[in-house]
Amino acid sequence: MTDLFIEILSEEIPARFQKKASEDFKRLVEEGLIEKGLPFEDSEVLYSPRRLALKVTGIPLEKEAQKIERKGPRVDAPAKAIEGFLASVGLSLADCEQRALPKGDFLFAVLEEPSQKTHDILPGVIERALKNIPWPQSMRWGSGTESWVRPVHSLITLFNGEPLPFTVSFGDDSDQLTAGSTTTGHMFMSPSTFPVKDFKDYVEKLERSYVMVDPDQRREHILTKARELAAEQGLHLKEDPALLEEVTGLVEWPVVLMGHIDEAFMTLPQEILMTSMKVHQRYFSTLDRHGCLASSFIFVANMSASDEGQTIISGNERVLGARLSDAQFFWDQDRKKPLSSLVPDLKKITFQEHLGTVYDKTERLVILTQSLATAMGFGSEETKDLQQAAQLCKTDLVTEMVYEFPELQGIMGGYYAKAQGLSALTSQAIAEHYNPKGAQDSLPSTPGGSILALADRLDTLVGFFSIGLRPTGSRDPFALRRAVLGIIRLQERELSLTFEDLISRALKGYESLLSRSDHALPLEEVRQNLITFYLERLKIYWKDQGLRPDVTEAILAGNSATLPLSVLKKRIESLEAFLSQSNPAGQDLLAVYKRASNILEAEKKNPHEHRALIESSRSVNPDLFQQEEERRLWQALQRVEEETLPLLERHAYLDVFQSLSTLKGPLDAYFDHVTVKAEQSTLRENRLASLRSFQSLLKKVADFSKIGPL
Amino acid sequence: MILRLHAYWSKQGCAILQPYDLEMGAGTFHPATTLKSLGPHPWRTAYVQPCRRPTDGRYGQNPNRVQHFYQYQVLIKPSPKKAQDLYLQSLREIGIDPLLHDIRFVEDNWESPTLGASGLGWEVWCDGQEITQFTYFQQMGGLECQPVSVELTYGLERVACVVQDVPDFFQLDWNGAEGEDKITYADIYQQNEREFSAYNFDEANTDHLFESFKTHEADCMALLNQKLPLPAYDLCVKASHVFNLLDARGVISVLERANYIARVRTLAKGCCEEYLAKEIAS
Repeated sequence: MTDLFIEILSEEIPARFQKKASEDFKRLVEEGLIEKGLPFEDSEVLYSPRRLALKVTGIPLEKEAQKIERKGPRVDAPAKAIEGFLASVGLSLADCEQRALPKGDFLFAVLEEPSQKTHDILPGVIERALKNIPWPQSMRWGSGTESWVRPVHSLITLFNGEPLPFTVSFGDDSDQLTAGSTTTGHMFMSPSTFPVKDFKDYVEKLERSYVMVDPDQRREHILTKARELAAEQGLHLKEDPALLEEVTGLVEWPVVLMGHIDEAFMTLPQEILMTSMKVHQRYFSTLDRHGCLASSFIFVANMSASDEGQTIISGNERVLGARLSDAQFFWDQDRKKPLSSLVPDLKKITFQEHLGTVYDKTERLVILTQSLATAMGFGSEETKDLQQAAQLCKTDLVTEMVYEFPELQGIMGGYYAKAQGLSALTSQAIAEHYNPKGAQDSLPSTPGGSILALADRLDTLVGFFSIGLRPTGSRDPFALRRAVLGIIRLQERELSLTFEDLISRALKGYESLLSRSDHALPLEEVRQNLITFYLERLKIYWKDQGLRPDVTEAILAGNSATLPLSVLKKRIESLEAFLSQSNPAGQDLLAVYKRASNILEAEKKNPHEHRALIESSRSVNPDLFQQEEERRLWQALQRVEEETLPLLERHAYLDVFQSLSTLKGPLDAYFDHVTVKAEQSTLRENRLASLRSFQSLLKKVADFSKIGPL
Repeated sequence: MILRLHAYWSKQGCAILQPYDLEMGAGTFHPATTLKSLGPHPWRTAYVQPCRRPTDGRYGQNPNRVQHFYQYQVLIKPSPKKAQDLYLQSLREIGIDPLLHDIRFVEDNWESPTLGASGLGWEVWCDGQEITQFTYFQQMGGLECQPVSVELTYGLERVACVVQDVPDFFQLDWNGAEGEDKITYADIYQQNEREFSAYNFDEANTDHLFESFKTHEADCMALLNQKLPLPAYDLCVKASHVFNLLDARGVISVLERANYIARVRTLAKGCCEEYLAKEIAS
């Protein structure tokens, strides 16, 4: 039993590919070993921008000899079949065995696979794994014909302490890689070549050669040092896991340094500074004790310089200064023009080929926001401000700043609106209307922002569906799923309006455009598609929030269009609580529901002529009662119905369910003592009708047929 | 600095060429790169190329954004194994010490829609600023590059700012003299920036430019029909520059831009295909 160690040294691999590539390489080597019948104990992979380093332990030195049996055709099969079999196993007829099986006498070939030295099998496994890593993008180099993510420089393959001698070519025989046992250290600080004995030796020697090949170690080091540097200045690091991950993939020897932002730029809006630092420069921002952006930034270099990084720091400060002076220029230029003067420019931006320009969209938003604001009880001043926000919310798309920093759309609109003295409601609505940007992002903090956010998404969603552009299973190029999720979250928090109502309002603005369009689908079809899509995403959203999917289905069945989301959600939560294992009343209700519906289902399948009568008969006739149990059930049903009506109006769902569960007594008695499927048809119908009225009482709140096993 | 780069790359076997005498947006457009990167024959070259990017004009007010600047272009085909090392050594030659600065290779995959070209590689950062584009060409004019060339494009003003340790282009020392005899970048180019920004953004005659684009396009096609890819390519480059001017004047809409780019790409592809056919035949 021994170990295998592989290092692939190449030119810098894109940071975002490194982690997955390391996992893929490990997996491919493992699969290769298994496929060749070589067991192993464990494996570990490390990586840096220029290296993939894999260790596999516990591989045997030899693959054991094996006997393999192959079953052939019957002994008396046609000559051709036997010839074919003999050819496939490479034996003569005399070499084969004959065995008597229940179905007859068959030929068997017993093949002996001799033992093989692992060290002869490994090169093939390693080369295949190396070349099959699924890079999202790869390239050829030199005169090669095969590709990899970047040019490969050297390969170490050590097995049992010895290098495996083999060569790998990427299509250019004059530039072959010979697997060996040497590597180099840091590109600048320790570029000389040195040999390694095994994985442990490798990691240690690299560390002494200024390479931290363990990504977890690098990441930890960066995070710790960054926090320390911030703390030394009395500041906090603005934590950013995604940036940390990226920066970890950009260095082999992380040296964390701090630079300063020229005070003159600190008057620029925070978002501009932070975006410029993060997106363009990969810097971390720092915050002061009030949580405001401080004038220091932290970055990671790949060099431990003799001047303690002074040259590096001043170089970086200069670059940032240049970027921020651009930003300052844009900030100054943009504020010279009122947003309203930019509105005509929106006519030059297409929203969608068949849905017009962004200008057209804002016209619709002006109408839609008014409709929504009125429904939500906004006063007339507020509504006017909101409509102004709608008209101006896209104008920042044609500003210099947003051209330079597209991620600042909305936010810049808000700043520019504020700068020109528009109301707080208007400015904030503009600033917030792109929120929530992702599933985890926060919702707009003002009612105006919420309405505008809702209107914008509704307009997009309804527009695209109206011309038949819907997401498919794998493709959603217009981010409609994200749009509807935003609508759901906003609706959940704000609104008593139903989705159907929202669709209607949004469709109003499209009336004239769609009536003239060749691409418009019939309205009813559009509505249906929208509702189906919405419900599908709603169920997923609530499932992700931890609500039971079956309970969600039960509540949504038949009710979704007519009730606001907040009410529906409350019902789901209540029913879930009611049906929890610890609540016997819930189990009781479910049990009697099942019993009743089983009988009713069975009846439906009854080909008996009376089925037609059963379907048509609606109400229970008390005069036909023969037993006490029937009367008691009927009275109980009426009582519960009366009781629950006000409870439903007050949304006291737990009480509703509690009340329903009191029907267990009367129902159990009913089942035990009353023959529902009486011979006499009128009696039978009446008894079934009782059950049906129980069922419809429940259906007012939920469709219990959807509830699954716990 | 340019002289040192020429000396260094000349020692690596590169043919030191002069800039191409047409207006172009990048050193890549020089036929020594675009056309010579096609086909099987090896090639090594290095040259300075003045570049014009009308939309980048700032009337000489911005410290490092200008509409006219210099690139130092190196093309080596097939790409050598030690490409990165060769580049880094060139930096040492001009006085940039990788042990004092933070030099990094940060993923960047270069594309030129007008040339139908693309490659994979990096931006080379020096202390947080991109100073060179390092690319392994995969495609040019829509054709696969075989063998692959490595292209190094240095932003000379930026590199010079690092070497001279000045904060902006206009303070660059051009002639190494002192006092009254000193000639800076500003002395040579400030007025250039001012006047050309005015031309690019405000004064260029767009009617004439639209006409020029059409005639260049037509002439290019005609020459391709005559199987003369080299002069045809000149006209393709001219058309591309005219497009850049129209863009700076703000008369090209978003939809139209895609269309113009496609038209230039068609010309570039034609030239590349014709050139390659001749290369293979020879």
